[in-house]
Amino acid sequence: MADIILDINDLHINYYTPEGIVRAVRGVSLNLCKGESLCIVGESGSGKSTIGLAIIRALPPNALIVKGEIYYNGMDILKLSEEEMTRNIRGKEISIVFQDPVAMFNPLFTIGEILSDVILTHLGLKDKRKVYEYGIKMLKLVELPDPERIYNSYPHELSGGMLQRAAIAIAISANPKVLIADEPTTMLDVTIQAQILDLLKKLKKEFSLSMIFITHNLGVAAEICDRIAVMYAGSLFEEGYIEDILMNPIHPYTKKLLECIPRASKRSLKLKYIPGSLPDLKTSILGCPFAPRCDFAMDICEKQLPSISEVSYKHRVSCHLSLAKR
Amino acid sequence: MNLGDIASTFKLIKSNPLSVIGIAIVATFIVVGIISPYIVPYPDDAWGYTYNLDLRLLPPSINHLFGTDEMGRDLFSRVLLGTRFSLIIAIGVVGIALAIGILMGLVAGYMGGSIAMVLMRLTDMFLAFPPLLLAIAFAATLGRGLVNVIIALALSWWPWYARLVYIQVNSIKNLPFVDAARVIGLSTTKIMFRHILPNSLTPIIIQSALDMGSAILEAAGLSFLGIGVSPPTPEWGLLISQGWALINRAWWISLFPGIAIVITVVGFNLLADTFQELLDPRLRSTMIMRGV
Amino acid sequence: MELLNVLKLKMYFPLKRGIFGKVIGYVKAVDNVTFYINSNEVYSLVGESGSGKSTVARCILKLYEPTDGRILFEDKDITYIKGKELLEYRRKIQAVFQNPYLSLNPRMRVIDIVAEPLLEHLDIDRNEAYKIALEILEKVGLSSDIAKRFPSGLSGGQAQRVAIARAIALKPKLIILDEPTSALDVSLQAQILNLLEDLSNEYKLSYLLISHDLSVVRYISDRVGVMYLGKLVEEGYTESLFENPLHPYTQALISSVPEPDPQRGKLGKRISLPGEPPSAINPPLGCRLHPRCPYAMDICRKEEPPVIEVENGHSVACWLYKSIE
Repeated sequence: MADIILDINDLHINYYTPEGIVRAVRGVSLNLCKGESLCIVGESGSGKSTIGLAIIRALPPNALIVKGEIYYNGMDILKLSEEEMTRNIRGKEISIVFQDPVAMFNPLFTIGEILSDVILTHLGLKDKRKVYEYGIKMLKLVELPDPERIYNSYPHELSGGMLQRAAIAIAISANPKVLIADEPTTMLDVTIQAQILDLLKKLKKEFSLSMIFITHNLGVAAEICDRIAVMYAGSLFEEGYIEDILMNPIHPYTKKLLECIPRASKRSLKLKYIPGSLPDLKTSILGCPFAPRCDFAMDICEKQLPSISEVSYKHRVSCHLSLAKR
Repeated sequence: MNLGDIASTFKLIKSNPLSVIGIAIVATFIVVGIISPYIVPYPDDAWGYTYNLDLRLLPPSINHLFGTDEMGRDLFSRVLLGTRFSLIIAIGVVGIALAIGILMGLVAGYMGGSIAMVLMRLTDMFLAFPPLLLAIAFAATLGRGLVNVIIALALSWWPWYARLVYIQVNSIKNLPFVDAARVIGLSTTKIMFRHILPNSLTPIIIQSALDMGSAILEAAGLSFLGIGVSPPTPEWGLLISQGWALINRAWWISLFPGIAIVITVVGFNLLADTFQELLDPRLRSTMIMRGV
Repeated sequence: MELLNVLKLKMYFPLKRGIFGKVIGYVKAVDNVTFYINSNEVYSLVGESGSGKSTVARCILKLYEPTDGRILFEDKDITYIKGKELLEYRRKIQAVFQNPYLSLNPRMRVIDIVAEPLLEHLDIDRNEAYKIALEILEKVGLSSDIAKRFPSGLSGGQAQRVAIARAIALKPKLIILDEPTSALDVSLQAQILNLLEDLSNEYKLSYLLISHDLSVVRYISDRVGVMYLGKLVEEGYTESLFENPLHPYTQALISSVPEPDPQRGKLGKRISLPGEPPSAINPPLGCRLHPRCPYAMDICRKEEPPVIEVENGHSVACWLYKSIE
């Protein structure tokens, strides 16, 4: 059994807004094994990005982790000080790539300046020459053409795809064990997306990276992940190996989601959709958040949050219907 | 802005003592400004039409809360009435500067091209001068008087608003809802005033709150220098200058108008801060977290 | 009947430098594009960023004036019309944009947003317009209590429905949909697509769909045009194009779409295009894809390929198919 490198336990996160307290993550427990890639899939309001930010402790100032632990290699990183987090964890052990590559880069610095900053901070290389060579090596690793030119370029001189590659280079330059990718290809063209997904797969293999990939696109998840976790309105609904989930989805939400997606590979009949809308995250929801929209909702679904049960090897579901069937 | 927003806005304001103070000061300022002619204890003194040499230079007492000036006039009445003049100046200056500035900025921003170039270069010319200097130049040319002060200050200030609006309009005019308005077939004028202008006002609201305080300050400065309002108008700056020579003997004549100016300007600054926090979504969150 | 005819459309944006705005080059965003749309038809323009598809849409919407070429609507040349004629044209062509929160005036109430086109074009008073607006809102599945709200108080799906309501208010003949579901969740996307389909049946509408999402395109389109770097490289009936993509770019595009299939690693077997599209300022000579095309031949580097009709209604601009002529 592979070791668990990241263990999220009963996480609860709130956002404080003028309109009220948004309970974005409500009791989510997940773990990531060494060398595997886990996709957290969900639509807007699911809380998936919040979890990514929480792991790296980069939540906005109006967010608060009100309960739960995140263990990295057995150590609860939520208990670390900001200084310890910056010095030892961020960038060094756990790294992140965001959705908008443009927003990640300070427009006043060249790629090389940002890259060398990270290298100096985390790897302690002193020699300027060595730092430069290492930086170029990183840019080559992410398959950027003409890395010397890119090293001296400013962010606005590069396309979205190239910037995202540079962002990945920076993220892995300090040899982290865990890479969090928050919708890294959502803003990219589909052919560039395919290239970036290829790159991530290659890097994961080469460096035995453990990856948490956050996306709303089930197709992308299918391409890049070993395991997938489906989230909805702050709760975890289903989790398992990607083949299991795609061939045998148990949760009504997962099933419906798969039926909603049009395909480019074949002609789709009339698309299904999920009527209704997300519950108001500012209220504390009793029971299952999907109950109002679920075809199979029973009385108990509105009263009690279903506990998580294991349906088959590592395939877990949080659903009363599934519990009732067993 | 709907009711839910208004309620939560009130809550946020209440949570910050500085905001409450700012609003209280400005509210008091406005109310006093309006009713002062009717509540001054010594109306004739206030307007400055009398003098009573027997009561010259009396220090603060029960009958004369702020003392009397060198003409024997009750200073408290004069400072109180001065509020009205400051109010007129604040509204007049900011109002006129806004009107000119918004129009210029809107037209230049949306039309672009050579119109924008001409208007913005004109704005640049005005902005090249330190505003107070420009105001002094205008005031000196126009001569003393309340109306001239307002005109001088408004003329030196409209370029700031024009520029603010210009920048906002430039970023808004490329948004999809403006395209949608064009696709519907709206005329340029309708687009400018119905779609672009209402969405460009946020930085102006904050700036004009600040500027109300600054207008009072600058008008006081002009009056102090002798090129502002003409005596016997009880404008605060003029009152300060009138007590300046006597500062050692009768400190109260300059002090109390000075305090009035300080409190009023601070009040407007706090109000501007409050507006900024309320209107900027990120700062708004900081306000909320304060209460957590 | 051909509703819309776009003929040899060119849109070049001048690049200016210096204080005097000297023109130093052109961004050839749309370069000689020709296609037509029938009435009661859904035509999609597909392409990635920089393909020029959005620019084509904006030219048709008369947000830009084309550098060259002509646009015919209902057999009338509308390329340079102004004034009253333009206003009449605008009644017949409307648009729905990508991000509903940006395409609705944040300071206008929903009812005013939908009533605005009615008040502008029809000789009716405000109450009359509000009545019609409420009916339209109902048609797109929104209840009347939405009417008083501002866009910020709506969900993404609701806001996009408001945008659709505004677009159909004047009963246009053609609606241009610019990535109408890209900003929405997948579960909502289907709702909106079904709504659009229902509306087109009821109002006998045509749609020009601008999209980069091939799965949406396949679901909703009758015909598809593929654009690359300002050129239309392939065009055909939807099933024909997707089952049998002719142009190497189309093949690459379709095979790059990730899908939730249990049989994974599909992308590994795709036709990949190395590198990135070059800039539209100095596009490659000859066929614009040749630097990245796995099948590039000598002639591709020198001359632009002609448009060749390979099967019924399915044409491609590629030298590989020259022999078919």
